[in-house]
Amino acid sequence: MTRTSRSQFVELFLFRARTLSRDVGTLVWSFLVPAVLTGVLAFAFRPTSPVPTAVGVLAGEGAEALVKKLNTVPELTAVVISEPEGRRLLSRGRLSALVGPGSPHRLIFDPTQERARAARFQVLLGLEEEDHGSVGPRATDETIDLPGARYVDFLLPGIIGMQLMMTTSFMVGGHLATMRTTMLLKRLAASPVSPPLYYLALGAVRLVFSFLETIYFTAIGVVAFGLPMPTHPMSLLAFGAISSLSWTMVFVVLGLRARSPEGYNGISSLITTIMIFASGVFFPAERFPEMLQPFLGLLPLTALNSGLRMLMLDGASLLELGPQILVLLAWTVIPLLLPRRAMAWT
Amino acid sequence: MIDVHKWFGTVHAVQGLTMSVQPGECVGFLGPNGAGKTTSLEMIEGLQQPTSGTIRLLGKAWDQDAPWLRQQIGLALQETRFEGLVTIEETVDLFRSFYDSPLSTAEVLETVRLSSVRKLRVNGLSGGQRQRLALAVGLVGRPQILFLDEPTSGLDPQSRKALWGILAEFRAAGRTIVLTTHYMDEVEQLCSRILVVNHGKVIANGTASELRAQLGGRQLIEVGTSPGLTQEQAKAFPGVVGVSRQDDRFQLMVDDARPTLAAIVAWASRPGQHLLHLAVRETSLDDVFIGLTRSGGEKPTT
Repeated sequence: MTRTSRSQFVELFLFRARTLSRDVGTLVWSFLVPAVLTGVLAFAFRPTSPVPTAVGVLAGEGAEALVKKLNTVPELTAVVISEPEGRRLLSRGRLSALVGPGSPHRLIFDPTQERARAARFQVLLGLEEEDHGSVGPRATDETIDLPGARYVDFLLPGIIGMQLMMTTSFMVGGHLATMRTTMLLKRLAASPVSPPLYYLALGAVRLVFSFLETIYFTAIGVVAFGLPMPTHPMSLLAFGAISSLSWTMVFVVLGLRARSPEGYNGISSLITTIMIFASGVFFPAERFPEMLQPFLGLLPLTALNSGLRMLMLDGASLLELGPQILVLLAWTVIPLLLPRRAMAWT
Repeated sequence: MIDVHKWFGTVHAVQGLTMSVQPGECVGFLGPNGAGKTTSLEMIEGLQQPTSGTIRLLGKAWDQDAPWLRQQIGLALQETRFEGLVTIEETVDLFRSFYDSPLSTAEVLETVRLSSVRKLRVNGLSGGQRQRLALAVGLVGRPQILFLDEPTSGLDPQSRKALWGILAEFRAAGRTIVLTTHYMDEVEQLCSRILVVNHGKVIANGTASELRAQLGGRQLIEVGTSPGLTQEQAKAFPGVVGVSRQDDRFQLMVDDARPTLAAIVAWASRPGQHLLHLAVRETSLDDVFIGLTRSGGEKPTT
C-alpha cells in the first residue's frame, strides 16, 4: 500500500465514520435501541414463579365439585365457565383446556399447543385422583384446531397494528421532516395554502393506504394462515382508519419538531421500538407486571392491537371497542392541544 | 420597513433596517454571506417575525392581513427542492390551486420556457430548469410583488440570462421585484435600485451609478511597485480621489486615468523604482461592493 493510498484510505474511513457518528438515527439504532430492547425483553421474560395452567370446567351438574378436585392438582387452576366463553378464551390462549363434567369427562384442547398437552396431563392426573379405582376411560379427548389459538393468530393482528404505526411514521413524520429539510414546507408556508387542508390531505392519503394495508394483511392471514374471516369487515376497516388518524397526528408533531430526517429517524425508531415490544405485537403485553398494565393500556399500539384481536379473532364489532377507540381518539386530540408553535411549518 | 431588528439568541442579525420599495421598482439586496439579506427578505415575506420594528407590505401588516398578502406575493426561496417524483406540471398545478385568480399552468410554463418538459419529473431537471420551476411557482398566482432569494445562484451564464429575460418581462408589466444576489451584473441588469447590506445594516442605497459615484471615481488604476508605495505616495498622484489597498497593490480611484497614469510611469522611471503591475479599468459594482463591505460601510480613504 503506497503512502497515497494509505492516506486515501484514512480519509475515506474518516469520511464514512464522521457521517455515521453524526447521524442521530444511526446512533440511536446502533446503541440505544438494542439496549432498550434488551431491557424491555429481559423485563417481559424475567424469571417468575411458575404460573398455574388455567383450565375451564364447563358449567353443569357436578361442575363445582370437579373444579374443587382439579384445584387440588398443583400447577392447575380451574374455573367454571360457559362453553361459548370457554371456547373463546381457549382460542385466545387464556385457557389451556376445557373439561366437561360427566362420565367420561369431555376434555377439549388443541393438541398442537404445548401448554394444552401439559394441561391435558394435569387434568387427567386430577381425574385419576377423583375416580380412583374405577374402570374405563376417565375422559374422552375432543381435540380442536380452532383458528385463533395458534401463535400466528396472535401475531397477525399485532403485525397489522405495527404496520399501521410504522407506515404512518415514514409516510407522515418522515415525509414532513424531509419537507422541512428541503425547504418545501417553508415554501408552502409562504403560499396562501390552508394548513388544516394540508393536514387533512395528509390524513386522507394515509387513510386510503391504511384501508389497503388492512385488507392486504387480513387477506394474507385468511388465505395463507387460515385465520377466520373477520365477522365485521367494515368494523375492521373503520378501526384501522381511526388508528391511522391518531398515528397521523402523533407523527405530524414528531415530524415537525425534528431538525433533520436523521433526527426524526432516531426519535421515531426509539418510540416505535418500545411500543412494538410493550404493546403486544410479538407477545402479550400481559407479560409485564400488573402495576404497568394501566400505563401500557394507554399506549396507542396496545389499544390498536387489542382492538384488532377482538375484531379478527373474537368476532367483535366496532361498537364493542369503546375503551380502545377512546385511547386512540385521545392520541388524536392531544396533538391538537399543543401550542400552535409545535405545529408551525417554519 | 422601519427600524427593523432581528435577534437570533445573542446574534443581532438585522440591526435597524429601514427601507421602502415603490411599485414597479426592482430592488436588489447585495451583501456578503451572513449579512442579513435572507433574514430581511423573509421578514418582508412574512416567514419570520421581526424582533422589533414595523413592516408594511402593500399598505398591510402580516399580523392582520396575512391571507390577503399571501395572495399578492410570489417568491422563490433560496434552495427549495421540490418533490422529485412529481412532474413540473403537477408541481405548478399544486401551487396554482392555492391562489384566487392564478395564471393557467400552460401559460406560466410558457413564460418560464418549460412547456416542452412539463411532463418531466423534478428529479430529472437541470439546475436551470429547477430555478425556472421555482420561478414558475412564484409567478403562477399573478403576484404584484416577486421576491427572489439568489434566483440564479449556481447557474451557467446562459441559464442566468434566460432567467433575466423572464424577470425583465415581469418588470415590464409594471410589477415589483425584490431580490437578493451576489452577482453585480445581475443587479446592474435587473435592478433600478440597490441596497448594500452588511452586518445587518444598509450601508448604501442608490442606483448603480450613484453607488459608483460613492466610491469616488469612474476609473480604477491598480498599481504594484518595488519597493512598495506608501499610502501617502499613492494619494499624492494627480487626480486620485480615493485609495484602497489589496495585498501589495494599491487601487486608485480617479475620474480621468490619463494624468495619473503619466505620473505613475514618470515616478517608476526613476532609478531604483520598478513597476510590477499597472492596470486601468472602469470601476464596477464589484469594486463598490468590495469597497463598502470590506470597510464596513466606510468609503475608501481619500
